[in-house]
Amino acid sequence: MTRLVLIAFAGAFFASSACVASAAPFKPCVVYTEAGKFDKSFNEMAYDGSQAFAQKTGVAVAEFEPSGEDAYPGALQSAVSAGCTDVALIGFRFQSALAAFAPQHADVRFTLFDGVVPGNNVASVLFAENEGSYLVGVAAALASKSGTVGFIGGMPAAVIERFEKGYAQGVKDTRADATVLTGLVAADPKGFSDPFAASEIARDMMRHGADVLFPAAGVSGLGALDIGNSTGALGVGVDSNQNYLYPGRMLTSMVKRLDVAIDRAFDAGRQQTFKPGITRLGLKEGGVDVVVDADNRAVWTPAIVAAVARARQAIISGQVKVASPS
Amino acid sequence: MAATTIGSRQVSTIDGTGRRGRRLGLAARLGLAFGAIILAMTVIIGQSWLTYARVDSTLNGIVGVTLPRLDTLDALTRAAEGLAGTSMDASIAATHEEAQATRKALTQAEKAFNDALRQANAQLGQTAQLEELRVLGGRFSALLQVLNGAEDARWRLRQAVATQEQAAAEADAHAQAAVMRALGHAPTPALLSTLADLRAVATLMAAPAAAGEDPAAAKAALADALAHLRATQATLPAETRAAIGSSLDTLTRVALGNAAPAAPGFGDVTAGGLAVMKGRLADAQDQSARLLHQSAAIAARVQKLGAELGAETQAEVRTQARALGDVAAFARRLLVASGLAGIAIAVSVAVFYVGRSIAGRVANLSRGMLKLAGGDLDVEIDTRGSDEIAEMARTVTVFRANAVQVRQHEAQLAAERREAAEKRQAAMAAMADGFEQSVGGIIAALVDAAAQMTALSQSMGHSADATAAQANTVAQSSQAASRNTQTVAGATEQLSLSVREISGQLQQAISISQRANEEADGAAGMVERLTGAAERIGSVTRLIDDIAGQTNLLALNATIEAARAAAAGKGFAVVASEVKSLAGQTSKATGDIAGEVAAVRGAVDAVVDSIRQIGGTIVQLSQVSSTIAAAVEQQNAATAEISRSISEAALGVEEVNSTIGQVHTAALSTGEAANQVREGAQGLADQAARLNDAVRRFLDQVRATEAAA
Repeated sequence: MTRLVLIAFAGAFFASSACVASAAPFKPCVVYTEAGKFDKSFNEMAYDGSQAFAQKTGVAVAEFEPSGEDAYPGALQSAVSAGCTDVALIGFRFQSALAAFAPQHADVRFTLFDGVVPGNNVASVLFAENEGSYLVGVAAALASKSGTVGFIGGMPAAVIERFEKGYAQGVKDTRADATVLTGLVAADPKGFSDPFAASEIARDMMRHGADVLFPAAGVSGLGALDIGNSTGALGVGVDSNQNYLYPGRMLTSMVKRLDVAIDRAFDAGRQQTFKPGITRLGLKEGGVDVVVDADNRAVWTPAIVAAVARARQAIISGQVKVASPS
Repeated sequence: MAATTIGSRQVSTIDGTGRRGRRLGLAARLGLAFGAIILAMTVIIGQSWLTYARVDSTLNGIVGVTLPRLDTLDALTRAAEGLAGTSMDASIAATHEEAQATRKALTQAEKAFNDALRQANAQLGQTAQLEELRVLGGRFSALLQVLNGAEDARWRLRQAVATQEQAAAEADAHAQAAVMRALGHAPTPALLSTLADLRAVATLMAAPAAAGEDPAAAKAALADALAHLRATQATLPAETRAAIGSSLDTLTRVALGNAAPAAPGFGDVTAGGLAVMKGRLADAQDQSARLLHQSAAIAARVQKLGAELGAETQAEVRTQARALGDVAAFARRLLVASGLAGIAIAVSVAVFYVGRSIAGRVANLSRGMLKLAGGDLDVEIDTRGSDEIAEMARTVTVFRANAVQVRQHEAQLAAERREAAEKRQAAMAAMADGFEQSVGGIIAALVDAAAQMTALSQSMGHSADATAAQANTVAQSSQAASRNTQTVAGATEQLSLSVREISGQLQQAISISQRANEEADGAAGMVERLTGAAERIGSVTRLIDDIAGQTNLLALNATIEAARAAAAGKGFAVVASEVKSLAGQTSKATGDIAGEVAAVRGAVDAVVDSIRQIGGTIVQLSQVSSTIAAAVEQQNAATAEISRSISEAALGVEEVNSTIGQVHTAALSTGEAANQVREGAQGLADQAARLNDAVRRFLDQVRATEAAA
């Protein structure tokens, strides 16, 4: 058995090296979640990135849109059957499907965004939420009139902590006397899907003077943003650009640049520089950012613009180190 | 044959020279003409193609792009209407069930809308309205999620509040009843104070909460009131204190909630006591109402955008349809114009070019050729030009020259033929004369032979008749002898009496038998002569047979000659064959005659034999009679022997009788044979006459044929 496996591995190795030597087959593919590629969120960003890549290189990107979480393994199988060599999976929700699937397809390169799956053929791309959140903090500190800003996390988790600490550091670095109120929606993942609880936390924070709310709590965050919008606090979007939800009432959105990340992943595949393991994309890599667009430009005073630019520079240059709990 | 060879050689010569000298061949000219027409057609087809391609692309635009767009827009509009309708329903939902149902409907409407939007994204591309629709879709989705959260919380809170309020009301009622009972027993200020405190707590508990207000203040007031109640309660008599203790516990639990759990996070929404719950309920109600209002606004906006998009697309379709109409009209005009132009080109090419320079000349040439074929060798052939028609005309002149040659050749041939015919006629006449001479002689000989044969047969018949007559006489004589013998026998009795008479009569009998013997000898001689005549008939028939053989040979020769003379000798051949058949028939007739003669001869031989026997018998009779006479003379006593002898004589006479009958019969059959010979000779003579006629006719025909030739 062991010998057989060894032979298989050796065969695979020679086959792959032969491929590299000859024509290096490359077929990039994206597997979206059921929200579809026009979800105004992660999927859409990934779609934009893959389109940009296709335009840049002239290599067509195949797309797969499973109808639900049950269909994820099927979509992965379809992608592999279609001859995809580089498969990008949009979101941590693919984690379990990929963990089961990737080992069976050693010759296919998988890139999972915002989640971690081990394996020699899996690249797990994470984002430096703390760096993006730091910039949000800088902007929030300057945009807040009361000097009190709020952060609402979905649940106690490392990733939420990265958001919170980076944000708080940005606020404090910009305005030392500012207060950062923090709240958690729940002790478990239900905290990402309870918008009313987040709304109540937001109301409470506002009663305590907070006039900028940064929820990092998935769907729950929408409740906080709704309250912020209806009661005069600025909201901050998360993961994808949510500025459009409440134009003029959003400070910004801390986005994970799936478009940049997918472009990097496909480039790596195309140039045979694919690297398995965990990669964390920060400001330097363009992996995270704060969004300024038509919906929030009015909120961004020149002071905020300048301060955020400075902070970005400081972080990229390494002048400022943002705490990164993990 | 020779003429054709000459002709083809000349034609090929002309062809060889003509091809070198030709400027523009017929094929090239026709090719040019058809090329012009085909070019015109190609231009028309090309134009039609291009025009129809335009029509097609416009149509494709409508069918492939605009119509699906309309479908998508329709779906989008319906989804928007669904959104608006369900938003409206959701905002007026009165019961929990209704609210649940409308929320479900709202979720479905949102899903339908987003599906339609996704489809629209794929089909409509990026437009401002669509982008706004997508934004609205995103907002609506977010809104719906928050609304769902708020509604869930609202209904849970409402239920919890109702339960808690009821529990509080019951506890309160229970406590007040206990206090009232105590008051009934012994009213004390402490009891009254407790009652007032209880009512204060109830009032606080019943106080409505406002959305957004901090429930902490209300909760603190309640806590204060409860603390005051507890303090007052402490002053009550033990009995009453105990009676309201549990109620106060319940009131406290309802008002302030259970002890907060240590876990981080917001926790249970229904935790924190009645005041907090009421505050949250107010918040949830406020949020729900606001979100429903917003959702209605978004739905209205979506509807409006959908309508705008639909109107735009409709306008687009209308524009495209108009463009299509224009293109079609243009195509129609273009087709008519180019069709007319094409017809004009084709007609002018056909009439002015092909008609005049080709068809006319071909018709002229055709007329010339028809005349030539009709024998008019003086016809004028126009050989001008350098194309195939001119070459054909030159070829026709060659044909004309050939025809002249052929005509001369034919005249010469006719003269030769005439000369040959004359020669042949003369030869035939000579041959006929020769034939007449040879065959005529033979026939004459044949006729003579036949006549001779007739004569012979007649004499033979006569001889036979004579034989028969003689035989008759013999018979009569022998019968008489017989009768006499019988008389002798009868008279034997009287013999002794009249021997002399017998002797005399015997002498008479002997003389009679002698005479009979002589007569028989004469009959034999006659028969001998008859045999000789038959012999001669046989030799004549052999002669006739020889002649028939020779005639056959001659007829064969005549047939061969006739075959040589071919068509001219055809009649001759018929006659020759007839002669041949007559010769055959003649030969057969002679054969028959020979047979008959042989038969006659055989019969005659038999007669001769019989006559000889008769002769012998008569001689014997004579001798016996003589002996009898002597015996009569000598012996009277030997009468019996005489009688016996007489009987023997009678028998002998009987025998003579029968023999003579046979001779008579033989003579009759000889006569019949002679008759047959005569008939055969007559037939032969007839045949000879017919042969003579046939030969004469044959010769007449031969001569007539010669004269005709």
